[in-house]
Amino acid sequence: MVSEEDLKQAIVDLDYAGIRDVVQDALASGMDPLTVLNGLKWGLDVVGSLYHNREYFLSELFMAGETMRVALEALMPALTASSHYQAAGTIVMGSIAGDVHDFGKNIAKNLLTASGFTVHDLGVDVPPLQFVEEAVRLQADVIGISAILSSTQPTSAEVVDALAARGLRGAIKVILGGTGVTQRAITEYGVDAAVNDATEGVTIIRGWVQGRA
Amino acid sequence: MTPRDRLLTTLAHREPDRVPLTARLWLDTRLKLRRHYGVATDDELFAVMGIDNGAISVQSLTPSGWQPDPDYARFCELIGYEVHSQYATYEEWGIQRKLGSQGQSVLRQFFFTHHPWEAFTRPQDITSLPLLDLDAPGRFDMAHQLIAEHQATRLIWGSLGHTLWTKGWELRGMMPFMKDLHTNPAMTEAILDTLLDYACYKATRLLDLGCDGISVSEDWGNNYSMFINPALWRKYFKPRYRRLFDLAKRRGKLVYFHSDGNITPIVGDLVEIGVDSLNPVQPECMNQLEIKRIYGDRLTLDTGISNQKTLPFGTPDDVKQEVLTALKHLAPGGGFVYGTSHFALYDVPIANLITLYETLQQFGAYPLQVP
Repeated sequence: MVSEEDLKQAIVDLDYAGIRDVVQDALASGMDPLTVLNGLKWGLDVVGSLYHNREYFLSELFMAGETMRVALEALMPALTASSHYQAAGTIVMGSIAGDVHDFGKNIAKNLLTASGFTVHDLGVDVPPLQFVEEAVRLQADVIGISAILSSTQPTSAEVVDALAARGLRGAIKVILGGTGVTQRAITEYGVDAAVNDATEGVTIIRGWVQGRA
Repeated sequence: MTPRDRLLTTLAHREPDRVPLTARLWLDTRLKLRRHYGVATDDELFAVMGIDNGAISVQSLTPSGWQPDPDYARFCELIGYEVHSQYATYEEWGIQRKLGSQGQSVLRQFFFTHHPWEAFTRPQDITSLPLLDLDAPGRFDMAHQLIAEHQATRLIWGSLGHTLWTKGWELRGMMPFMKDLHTNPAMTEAILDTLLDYACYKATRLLDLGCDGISVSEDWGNNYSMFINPALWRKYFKPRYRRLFDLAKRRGKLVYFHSDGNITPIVGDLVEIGVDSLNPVQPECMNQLEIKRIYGDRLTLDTGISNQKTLPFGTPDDVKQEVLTALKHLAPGGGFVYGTSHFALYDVPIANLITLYETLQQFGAYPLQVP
């Protein structure tokens, strides 16, 4: 009999090879798919805490996302059949123009996907207007901008301005992420949140979307 | 005292006549400084700024007769590389890169578009690969020439460049390589042993030419922490680095290790396996004073002013204060090299660079008298 605790622990242990069986066993034993999802998300939260305590490192964040991805593949058919399930939200993200770093962005993408968001990854070196156009086209809730360089972070203001020009400033939230990003970005570039850690970004985005529900 | 003697003295943890200085500056910045000082060459510039650049690096290059394809030649032109420099060996490995949209601006960077080992599924796919032929004619001609030219006055590092980790992910892709590390020990070992054998042979060739030591360049961290768990690093990488460094140590040679980011958890391991000089001991995210306190009698800190904060965004007075603090706490007893902690980006204020080296010239002489 698989418990929520077992599901959490499989994510914390980065049990990439075994997670599919754990999820299938849980479903076979009659566990509600939403309860399975909660157990998995619990594991992801613990991984985030371990990262903050420097007990886990970036590759473990990445592997937690990979393990979660496999878990969701096994869980999704049952989850979508459940009448209570609702996708968490839609995010358009990419590394902004001039920035070709994508590792942090990919970690964030993995964790957001693992948290049930539909993520559209625009890649690297993305022009500011493209973020806005894609967000409108896909009816996104959030735009995620990755910018590792101090010289590329200011371009995030162009995304904010382009949203404002279309009257969408309140409707689509903007989060800036990158290893060198500080809270100053909120006042300097007008973004809604600024983080230097993917797990914190996921928590903020979850809060936004839950707040709307 | 020659720049070589100055550097060797500090590497031996004794105080030379003054702190050895480095300058990691792109051509654009050097041209601005040349204009400021009214000099025509880099040699004149470094002389007037008191930058002794006590070491040079030599490496294996592309073999005689190698010709770049037009795309690569264009890439080099845009990014500012010499076509036949060490970077050309990426072409030989089949690693493909593309320049970012900002082209020749201050954001002159590339990203990877193809990792030639990414599709491999079996360890033997990698272990059976022919690697670059290090015995091909011409590989070490430039190294040979530079050593002959500079060995009387400069310390010579035999540069292995990206060696196990960085070369591993450049060939495999970062995420596939991380996945290997966590889920596929056989593939991990195939990649690392293949690269280690290659690095050991290259190191032997460079040491045979007369290099004073070997240098390894890997980026193990970002500002927050390391890319992989130190436990995983100790399992897969440490023993292989030890084998590589032993090659130099058995011949009485030195080991230089570069890694950006916060690599605090493995500094003790690096000292244990023979690293003599660590660069850049990134000032924004590592406690340099603590590292000096614990390892200062065995490890040289080849460091410099904050490249992410003070140099681009500080005032000349901020620069001066940071330099004085470093001299006061890190320079005593030698084991200390200073300059820019990494390559200064193209748009740093020239006034800050001038203050950096003027302060070092004014207060960097031993015995130290730092206000």
